[in-house]
Amino acid sequence: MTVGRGRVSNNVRRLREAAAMTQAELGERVGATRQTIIAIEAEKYAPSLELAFKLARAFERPVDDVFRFHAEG
Amino acid sequence: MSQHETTAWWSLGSGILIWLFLLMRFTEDGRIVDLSAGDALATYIQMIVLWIIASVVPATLAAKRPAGTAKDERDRAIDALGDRWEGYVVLIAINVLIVHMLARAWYADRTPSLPIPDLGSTAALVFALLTTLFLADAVKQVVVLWQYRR
Repeated sequence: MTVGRGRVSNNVRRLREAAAMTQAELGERVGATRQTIIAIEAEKYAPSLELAFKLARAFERPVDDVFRFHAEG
Repeated sequence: MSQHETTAWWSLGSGILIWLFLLMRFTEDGRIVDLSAGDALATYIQMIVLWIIASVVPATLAAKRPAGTAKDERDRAIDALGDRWEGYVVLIAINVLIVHMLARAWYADRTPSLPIPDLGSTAALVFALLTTLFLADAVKQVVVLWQYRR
């Protein structure tokens, strides 16, 4: 089975707000800038696998809870 | 606006200003003047000095606020995309110059109907190559800014 193009959505904003963290705090925790956290939350930037795992770890959730892949077609 | 975005705006602005300086030195009434090798070299050295000053200023300002200077993976990805576009521009421009020079040589006995610059002189060739570099850098900065702004 081949997986075609798709897009990645995420729950970063919801999880960050639930954890009462600011974007700057989350960025500091995962080694990213506040601007990158903003771009990820707005789904304008899909992070690398490494950063995705770091974000999941920061929320103490599995990656699947934070990021979701939506295949097109 | 992040430090990297500010630096990109600065690079774009200073690059345009330095290119305008070159334009002022190498052209007159819209035509490339045949500068002597000494004048062309002096202009080139002045341009290098201006370029160094333009590069040192944002680096000095960034050093004063180290918190915003660290690049993360998105910054590096944006830089890489900018570098790629810069490479495309250099590749295209160099090929345009090569085709232009070959065409000029091939049709040396004909007068061009369009006001095509003659790159036969050292000054004209230097100006064309420097313009290529500035154009490529400007495209890179525009791509970087577009990526940060989108």
